[in-house]
Amino acid sequence: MRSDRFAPTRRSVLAGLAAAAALAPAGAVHAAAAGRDLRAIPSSGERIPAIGMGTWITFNVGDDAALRAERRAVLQAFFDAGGGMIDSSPMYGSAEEVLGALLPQVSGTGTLFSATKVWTPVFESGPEQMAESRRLWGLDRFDLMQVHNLVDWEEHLETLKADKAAGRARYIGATTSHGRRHGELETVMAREPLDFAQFTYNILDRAAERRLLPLAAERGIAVIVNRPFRRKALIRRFEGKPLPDWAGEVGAANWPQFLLKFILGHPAVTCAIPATTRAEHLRENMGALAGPVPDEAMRRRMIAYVEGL
Amino acid sequence: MFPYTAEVLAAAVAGYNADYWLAAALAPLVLGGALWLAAYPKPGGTRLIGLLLAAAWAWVGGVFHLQVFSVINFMAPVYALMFLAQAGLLLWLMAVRRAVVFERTGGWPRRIGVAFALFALVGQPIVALLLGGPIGSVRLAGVAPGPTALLTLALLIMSSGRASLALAVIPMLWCAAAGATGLLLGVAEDQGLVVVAAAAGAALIATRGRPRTGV
Ligand SMILES: NC(=O)c1ccc[n+]([C@@H]2O[C@H](COP(=O)([O-])OP(=O)(O)OC[C@H]3O[C@@H](n4cnc5c(N)ncnc54)[C@H](OP(=O)(O)O)[C@@H]3O)[C@@H](O)[C@H]2O)c1
Repeated sequence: MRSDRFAPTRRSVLAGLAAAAALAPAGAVHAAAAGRDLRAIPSSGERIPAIGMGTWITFNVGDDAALRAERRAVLQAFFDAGGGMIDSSPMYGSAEEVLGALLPQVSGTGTLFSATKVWTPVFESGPEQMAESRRLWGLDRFDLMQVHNLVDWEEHLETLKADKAAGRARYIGATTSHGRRHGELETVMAREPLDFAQFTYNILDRAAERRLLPLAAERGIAVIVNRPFRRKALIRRFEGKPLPDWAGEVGAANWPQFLLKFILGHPAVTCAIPATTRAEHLRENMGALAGPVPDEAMRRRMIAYVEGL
Repeated sequence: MFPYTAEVLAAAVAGYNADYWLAAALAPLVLGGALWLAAYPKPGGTRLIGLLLAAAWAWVGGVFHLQVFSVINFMAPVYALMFLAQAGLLLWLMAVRRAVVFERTGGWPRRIGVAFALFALVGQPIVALLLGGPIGSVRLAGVAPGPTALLTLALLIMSSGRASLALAVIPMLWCAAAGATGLLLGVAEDQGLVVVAAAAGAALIATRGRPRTGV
């Protein structure tokens, strides 16, 4: 399985810049480039689908054959929809092992953009942990290796830089999901040559709008948005409530798509990574790759709507 | 936030029970023997009860936590250490030092202890089944952590000696952790466990300091 499907060429860089230009606010909504929302990684211009998939809890199913079969269907649906980024971590129990076992069992995996993390407070064991992740996924290298939750980031980032130079990772990044760590992530983003930063952003958790998202745009750092549904809390909160009449104008046919479209409407966002255990949910989420993307005015209208519910 | 769902936990326990079916079948019977010894003390009984309980805690730490639970939970090695430490404490304080003793005539602590022990051995699995859990995922004393911790508390209620309270610390901690997990994941069995364990803990404290005759 190759994971460098999106390796940058001059053409892809130009296409990436065109896609980025297409995301500039231009009216109430604007169309996703070529019908499918692909976004450029600023450091290379390589384009990846703007919806990926997370694996926290959902792919930690251990050895159970029935649960693995269900996740295989999710994975197949992901690649059938042209999915790219899959995000995992050694912290997610058996998720990496399950992914590694299931990837060879599904078709269309050439578009995989493999992203995982290093997560150990013992700096010396970082390289070993990353080698184990490569073994579990069945890959020679990761597309993206991130420092999980900024654990021991100063030391791990040095290893990641060396790994990038040695070709063991194509891109490097750092993640958090806690608002209280935003200040620290900001420091890392400002100081280090990150390709990616991953943090939480959704229609109700918008703290990242203040500093992280503008900083990412300024520094040319790709943004991965985690917890787009606040771990299902947003879906539970809004399901059963009516979508606005104008949801179609932002390309949303259901609440998950409405919530994802809000995120994708931010021009600094590169990819949102909702997690799911169900193939039909996966298809709904990937549906957000198509159709118009809300601009800033429309995004404010979306916020006002949900806050009024 | 736990990295797994109730469904995944049940599947992991079912796989564990299937893989170690002989241990799962024998452990409650063997620990039933420990209960018998605690209820009808014999010379050398404390030592044997200590050995049996220590073996159960060591099994749960070394096999359940380290080999099975660690696949889905990164905290499992920490739990394994807790269980192995408790096994060591049981060995030292009961089998070697005999700092816990079981009485010939136990009175109401004995009756309460027997009730909790029977709940740990047979009551909890029956409740789990009545709550709709699949038979393969039933958690059994001696191989699963919750009922093992509860059975240990029950036997300690039936005992006397200064070490009983020290030996109850880790079982209580485990039951509290399991209860928190049960609350967050919606596992009724674990929510029930913390309530029963709290009652057992209260009974243990209430029964300390009574004069007894040990063997
Ligand atoms: N520090 C970090 O690095 C960090 C922290 C947090 C998260 N992450 C990453 O970000 C990913 C996403 O975050 P998350 O998993 O915490 O939360 P999330 O994606 O916001 O929410 C996941 C939940 O949403 C539900 N869901 C997904 N699509 C749905 C749909 N179409 N309809 C109804 N329900 C739907 C899923 O339930 P169903 O299974 O029923 O669909 C699942 O319970 C993680 O998996 C992980 O890869 C990283």
